[in-house]
Amino acid sequence: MTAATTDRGLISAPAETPRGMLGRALKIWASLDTPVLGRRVPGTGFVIVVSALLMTGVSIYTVQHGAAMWYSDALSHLTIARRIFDNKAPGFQQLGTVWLPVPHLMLVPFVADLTMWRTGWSAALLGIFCLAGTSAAMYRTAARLGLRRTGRLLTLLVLWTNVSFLYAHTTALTEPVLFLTMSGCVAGMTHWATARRPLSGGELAVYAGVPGAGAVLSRYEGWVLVMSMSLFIVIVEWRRSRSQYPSTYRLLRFIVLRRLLPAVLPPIIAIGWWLAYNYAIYRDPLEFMFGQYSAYAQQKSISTYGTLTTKGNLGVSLFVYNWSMVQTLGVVAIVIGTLGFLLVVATRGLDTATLVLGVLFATYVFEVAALYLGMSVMNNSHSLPKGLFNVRYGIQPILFCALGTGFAVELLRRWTRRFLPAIIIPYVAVFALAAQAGWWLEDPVAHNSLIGEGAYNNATRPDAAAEYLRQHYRGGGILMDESGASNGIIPLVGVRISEYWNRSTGDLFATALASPASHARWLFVNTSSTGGMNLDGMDAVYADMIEHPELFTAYTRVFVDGDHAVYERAW
Amino acid sequence: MTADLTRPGAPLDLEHQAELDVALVLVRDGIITRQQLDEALSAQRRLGGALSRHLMIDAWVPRRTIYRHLAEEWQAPYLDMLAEPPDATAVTMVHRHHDGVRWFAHHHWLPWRMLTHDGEEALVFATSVAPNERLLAEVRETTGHQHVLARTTTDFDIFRTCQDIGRAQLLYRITDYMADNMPDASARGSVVTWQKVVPIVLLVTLVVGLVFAPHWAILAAYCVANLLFVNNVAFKVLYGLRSPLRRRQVARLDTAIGQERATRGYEPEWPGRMRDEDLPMYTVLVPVYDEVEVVQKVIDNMERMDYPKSKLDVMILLEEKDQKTIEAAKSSRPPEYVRIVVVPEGHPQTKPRACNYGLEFALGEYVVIFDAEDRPNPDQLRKAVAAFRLNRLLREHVDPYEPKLVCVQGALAYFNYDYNLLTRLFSIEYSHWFDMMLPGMDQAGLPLPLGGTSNHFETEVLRNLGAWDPYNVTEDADLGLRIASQGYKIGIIDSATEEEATSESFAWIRQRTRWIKGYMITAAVNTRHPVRWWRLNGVGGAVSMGGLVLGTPLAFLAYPLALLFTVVTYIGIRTGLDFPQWILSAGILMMVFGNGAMIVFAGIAAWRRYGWRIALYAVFNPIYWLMHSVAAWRAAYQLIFDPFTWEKTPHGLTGDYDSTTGEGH
Repeated sequence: MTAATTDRGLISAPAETPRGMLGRALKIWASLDTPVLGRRVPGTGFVIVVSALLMTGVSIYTVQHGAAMWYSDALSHLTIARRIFDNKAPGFQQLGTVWLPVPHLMLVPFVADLTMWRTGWSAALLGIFCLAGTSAAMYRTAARLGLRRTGRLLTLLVLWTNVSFLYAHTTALTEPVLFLTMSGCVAGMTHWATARRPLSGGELAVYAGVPGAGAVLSRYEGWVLVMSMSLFIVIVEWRRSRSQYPSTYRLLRFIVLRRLLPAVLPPIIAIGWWLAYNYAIYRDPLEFMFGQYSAYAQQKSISTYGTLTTKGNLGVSLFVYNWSMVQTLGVVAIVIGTLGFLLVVATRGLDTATLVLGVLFATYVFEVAALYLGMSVMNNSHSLPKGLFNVRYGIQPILFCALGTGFAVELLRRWTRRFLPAIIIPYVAVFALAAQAGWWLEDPVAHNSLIGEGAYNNATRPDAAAEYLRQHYRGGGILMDESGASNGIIPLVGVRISEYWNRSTGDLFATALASPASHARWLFVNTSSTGGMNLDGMDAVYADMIEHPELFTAYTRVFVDGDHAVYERAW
Repeated sequence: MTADLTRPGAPLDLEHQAELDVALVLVRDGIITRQQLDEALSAQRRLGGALSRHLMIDAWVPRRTIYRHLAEEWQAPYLDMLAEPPDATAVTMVHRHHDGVRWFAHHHWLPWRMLTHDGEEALVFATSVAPNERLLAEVRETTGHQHVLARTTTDFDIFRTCQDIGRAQLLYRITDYMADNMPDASARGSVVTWQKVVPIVLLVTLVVGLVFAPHWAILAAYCVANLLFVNNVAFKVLYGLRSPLRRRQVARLDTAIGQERATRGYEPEWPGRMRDEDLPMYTVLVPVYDEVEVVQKVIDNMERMDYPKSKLDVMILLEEKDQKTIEAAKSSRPPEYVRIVVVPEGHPQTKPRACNYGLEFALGEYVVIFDAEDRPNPDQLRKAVAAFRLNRLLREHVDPYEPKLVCVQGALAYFNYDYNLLTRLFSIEYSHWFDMMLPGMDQAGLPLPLGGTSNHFETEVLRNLGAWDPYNVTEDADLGLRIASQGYKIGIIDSATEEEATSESFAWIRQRTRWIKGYMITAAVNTRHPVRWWRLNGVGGAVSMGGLVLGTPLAFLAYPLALLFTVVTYIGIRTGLDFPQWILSAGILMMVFGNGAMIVFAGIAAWRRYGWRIALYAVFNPIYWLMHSVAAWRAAYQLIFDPFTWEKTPHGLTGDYDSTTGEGH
């Protein structure tokens, strides 16, 4: 065996590495422990492959069991994504303003196929992409913050063993896209903060700003993320550059113009575009915030009923949110993650790792504040009133808990190695996470509120009516008010959206309502007296049937499922 | 003068015998070792040239030492011409020569003084070559004096003295000679009347239209802006698509030559690696301004070249007023094949003016320009020579109508390609330009606008063409079109030069302003007389001019307008202007597909050269184009108010950057 030499002299004797699969596996295993010395983070590819495989398996299971289409919101997101190009009035105005647009835009290529759209595979494929991206970003963040193999893998295990988190990635919820963009943004700013050679403003804009722009147009948690990222940049750059500038003014000017501005410019442009879009379509730049279908309108309606009990009560807000966290994120991840954060603060003070964890913790603050300010509604088994509504928001601090767990395990392992075998601490953590996952899997619907909320959605929806329509539809058009309560079943029917006369067709909907028989062979109606709490009364088609029965004499009711009915034109 | 020293033991002529005697004296005196002499002799056998040059380059014997010894052998007393310059009569003789001081520099002798010798007046001349009968006859014929006496001086003294006594003459030649003798080709005269009138008329029409018929005026502006954008994008994409055809063409030619050679019993590969002795003298011009640490970098880069040093004539061109760099260069003690050349102060102080100055003294059969930071591939000079030789062979033996190849362009790439976002985008742009578009243009036979460095010329043809226009801030692009208009050919060689990409936004904008302004000026110069120009350049020239040289600045000027229109129409802001739907749709399609095409094709080119990590950044191309637009509007302003200003690009900001190490953590 000859020793390897470089121009610096003898460095090492190459070890005999096994060839083939085993050799490759050992190489990958070693790469997970390699310190980050440059731009590349060894092991990222491995993480992407493993997470994609894991998510593929989860998706196969969930989609086959139909659970991927449980959430009503997921069906709405799938509908919005497809109606952009499949509609009687296609176009970007179909994005609407109820939700922020990026998750729908990212779904577009996946919903092009009708079968994938109907079965939920569209969302699952996006979920695979998102989980792979989020895992890679968190791995890179952990690695850049100095965590070695144990810490990095524990960070990932928190994500990979969380049943709520994995389930969310199989459906068309907005959370996967938010996690992807948030983790991308955090990975980017960590890269910037830990690089020995100061990265340029442009690189900061690309690494942190662009994912930040994606986050602000995914969910409102993204807005808080960008704010906390801004604070992070100011603190890190202040610490790094203060000795190089003769005056505070010049230092601040440098930070604001050369660091902060490039980083926040993409999110600002994204928000600016969203305001312009709202103005262009609805003549009100704040339509998304205060419009008819906005969360604000929903909360206002709920508040009127006196059921928005978290509003103005910090204690209840904390209580309700923390329980949602326990029910979705799990006690194990919360406890170990928080412990990790406290250990980092205690040992490192206000260093980069602490700040990164702080940025990730901002989502928790946001969720509690949103409940306290009445901007958000959440019902779980510990809220007043009880229920299952928006419990899934409890999953939001998972990135914080994951990274905190990585730190907790690695720090505790280092401190205890004198009197404990090195394997013990990681083993305990892995065992606890596995036990938590096992308990969830024992009865996911009962034990896990995020999945339970989906199941509840599914149980209260007229899926049978949708199935009837899917099996019997033979063309001729469908008249439907998709904003009516529980009417958002369009993907389940699996018929092209251009077959529908509904609200998304704009003025065409009114035209069809005025003369239904000449437009649609089929009617899908909710016969209950009220629409959703935030909507304008009952199903518009059914209301028209009551008000102008003479227009509907050609129709015969062919299917009834509770409040929902399907009519077919008889001649 | 041309003793065959390639064979050991070959008989030496007197001149080479004298050189050898000098070398033996140097050995005897302990100035060089016997081994060094043997090595120098061996190099001379292989490469040709004077033994003294090999001793200077390979054995590092000081120039003056060698010439002092040569003076004894030649029996021509040594003269320090810098300490004792020529007298007025001698200077007048030089100035009266039809080819001026350059002729003497290239013939290695100068008239020095008139002296009385043996009772009659004699011309004393200084020479750095052996004063044999042929030289004495040349001196007599040139000066008209029959009684001539020789003094020995160094080649450096001849060169420096030529610079000193020919200062005014050289200044004129490098600055205004071309403008006076080829006024239509020079940018000194700026734009002609119709070129001033047309933009004003268009502007007035637009303003009048906006006042009296805003709807139609905006509609026209919308259409024109989109068409200008698409015109440039289409050119870049379509000619980029032709690059695979060129690769196939080259491969087929290589195969055909290989097969033919094989049938004749030769080595199939041709030209293969050329023998060192077959290589010609090569001049390398390195214009430098305000770059103190540059000489060592130039030397390092030249040392890496796979080319015999004794056949290299490297000239570092420094500006007279840049004393700091001059001092630094002198104190760096460059090797003998590197000349420090100080360009006399004058206006405009531009890179082409400095290059023209270097060209006056270039000794090589071929000449190339490199920037100080450039890291050319070691094989580049050999590949350039091979391309010239192949063209010569084809013209002589295959197709006499094949245009003469007088220039080849090496690809430019960046060594700091992943330094920051800007260098990534710059590298992507360059890889598309040099790896796709230029080869595609070459394949289509279009005139090529040359890049700033790594263009190799046949020296004599370059001089005859008038060399670089010092009044044009993109003299390279201008020269490319001029070469094509004279019926010559420009080729591409598969050898790259790694440069330093500008890494700071404001410096980038200044550099790009100069380039775009240069394109505007080049377009203006070439289209002063459109009909004449068309006859000379034909359809190919017009396509190159319309799609690239004129098309690029116009596209960048129009881009913000086209983008604004697209954004406004896309997000559906009601402007009150009722444009036909098909026009709106066409505009959006042009913008989306135009940007998309540039992203895809630039990304593919970058992928091939730099890998996917860089290629992904092509998605930011639309933003990069906005930066171009800022530069284009600056250029338009400067074109009117300050056309000759050369905004120097700072180099060396990332000179020591090594992308393989990354930024570290």
